[in-house]
Amino acid sequence: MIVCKLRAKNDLFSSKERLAFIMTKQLRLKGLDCANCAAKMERAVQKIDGVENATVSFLTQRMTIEVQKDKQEEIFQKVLAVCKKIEPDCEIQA
Amino acid sequence: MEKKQKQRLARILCAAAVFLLLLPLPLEGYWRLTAFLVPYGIAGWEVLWRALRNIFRGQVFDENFLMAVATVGAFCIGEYLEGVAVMLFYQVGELFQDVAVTRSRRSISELMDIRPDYANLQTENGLRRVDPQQVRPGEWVVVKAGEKIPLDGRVLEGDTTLDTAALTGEPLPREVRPGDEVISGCVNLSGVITVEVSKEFGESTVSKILDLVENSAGKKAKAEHFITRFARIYTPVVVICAVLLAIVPPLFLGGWSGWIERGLIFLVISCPCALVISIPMSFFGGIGGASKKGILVKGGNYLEALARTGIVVFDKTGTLTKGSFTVTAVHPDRISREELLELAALAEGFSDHPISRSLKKAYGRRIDEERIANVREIAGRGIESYVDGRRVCAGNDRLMEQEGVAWRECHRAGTVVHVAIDGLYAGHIVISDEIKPDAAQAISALRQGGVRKVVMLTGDAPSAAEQVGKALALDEVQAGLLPGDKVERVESLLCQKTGKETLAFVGDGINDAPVLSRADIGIAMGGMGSDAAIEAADIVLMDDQPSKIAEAVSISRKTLRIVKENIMFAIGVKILVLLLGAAGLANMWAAVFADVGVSVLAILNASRALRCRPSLKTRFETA
Repeated sequence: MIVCKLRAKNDLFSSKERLAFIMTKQLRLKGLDCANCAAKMERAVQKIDGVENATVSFLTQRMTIEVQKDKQEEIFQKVLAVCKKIEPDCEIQA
Repeated sequence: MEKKQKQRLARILCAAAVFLLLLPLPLEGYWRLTAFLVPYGIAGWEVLWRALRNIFRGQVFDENFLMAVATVGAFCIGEYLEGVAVMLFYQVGELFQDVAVTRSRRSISELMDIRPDYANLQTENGLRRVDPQQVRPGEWVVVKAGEKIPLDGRVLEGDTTLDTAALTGEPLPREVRPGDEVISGCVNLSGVITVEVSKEFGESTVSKILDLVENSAGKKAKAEHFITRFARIYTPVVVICAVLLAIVPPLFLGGWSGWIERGLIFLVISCPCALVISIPMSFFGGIGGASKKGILVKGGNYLEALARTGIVVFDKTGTLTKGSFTVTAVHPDRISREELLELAALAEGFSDHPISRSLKKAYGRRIDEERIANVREIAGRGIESYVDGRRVCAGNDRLMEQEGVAWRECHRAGTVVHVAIDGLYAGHIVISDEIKPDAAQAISALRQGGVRKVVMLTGDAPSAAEQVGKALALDEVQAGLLPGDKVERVESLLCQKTGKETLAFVGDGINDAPVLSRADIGIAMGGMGSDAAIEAADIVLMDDQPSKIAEAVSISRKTLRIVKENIMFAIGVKILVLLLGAAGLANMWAAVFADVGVSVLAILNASRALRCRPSLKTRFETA
């Protein structure tokens, strides 16, 4: 019998319980014109408490964040503040 | 070019002109310094200001800061020429990057120019132009020649031809008649049609495709994560080396300005821009180029996985074969041909399975639903129902075994539907399916592309499956599988992978969702219709040509090749110039090349990813 490790793809992400309190949101980042800043923003946003995952795409000028539903307003404000600090010229739209 | 970019260009040209004018002038001492500060200021005040502003924000070590230190440092050690030149080239490089990024963003949005702006809604007072979002299912919209179909629906009136190229990459227009389903995003080429809307805008094909492509940026490839990590380490390390190089050796050896220059060279090369921009841009371009051909990739990570495909597993029906079955033989036992066909068609009357549809088509008459009762579908086996009060079982060998009916083998290749009435065998009907015209070509293209093994899984009888397997020269055919078995088979094939290779599963999305998500890469075909397929798959083919898979693999390989080239080239040149610089063999100019020059070349290389070769099919047609 061959023992092999199988990857259960998106195991965590597709489970129903998780979906119940995590929500995915897309933000437009207008005027994001430095690739390094995008990477910095991504890192900084990932560190915010309550943010499960965050990716910033420099090319599509979008940020995708997965946040805990119950704290979303509070987290959202923190995200805005962090981005403003890193790239003041960048405007964030929900 | 945008306004901001034009201003930047003007500033660069202005600074360059002043710089060139100053070169031959015989200025000395402070006059020389003041004179060269003019072009420096014109080209670089913004960089200096940003550097200052960011320091107060606690953001040290950004590229503005590094550039400011490098150029100010050059002025301090009396290298005015280099100071101005580095700033000028840096600005040229930045401008170039900006233009390249804007262009690549624009070309993607042009590709995705399928969003309809309005819908001509039919109301009591004639036509009214409304936002497609306001139209509800069941309402009627009129699409004139040249307009985009705003929402998915069914044609009620009018004949026309549709241009589906933006959705499927298929250059031939499609003809539609009343009763045909149409999808949003197609362009009406000739006549006027009235469409009964079947889905809301948010659920329509156009919205789904746009969502999918926009979200693809959220899933980054490993190479992108590598670059992010690399960039995070690279800059601080190079900066620390620069400081050490400028301070430590001269403490023992003396000759401060020479060592400081070496340190400044390091600072100029310390930005990882070339990589940070060009790698995501390659993936972005690859995904964009693929979507131009009707291949929707849900993220850079899937493109990366696709490039390493070693095993491709196909579903048979609707994937390698047309899925449009036709009845090719009716072999009755005890009863007449007509009666057998009628019973089978009625028994399968409520089912929408391709087999049922072909039976109904062969039967040719309307299905009288009154005559059918208690229909029960037995997954992977067939159907049991009561027709005119008699219990009819229609299905494959296994259904007959389950029912304990003695069935007869058939010599004809194809899918055999056995029919039993009240537990007694009544004969069988043979249904065959045609292999898609480009299937063989697709499989040979996959093999050329480096795929080691091609497998077909099917729920069909072995005879029909073998026939297809032989015709297409597949490595392995596994027939007679229940939907649940497919997951198991794919799992055992996953165990056969060697090294880093991946396994792709291709299905038409009906009943395939578990397998699609189990495979490393799930590819759904004919994604136009099935929501479950779009949901579960990693790659969605807008039409149902298997040759698109080979094309997707070749696009992914090309993208990954570009990514590798850029990583090797950029890191290689930077490290080389760093080493030469440390040894005192490279000057500021080499450093500027390692920074700006490499960026420009890497970006030009990355923009190749967006351009894709004409599709396999068109190439074959023109050949």
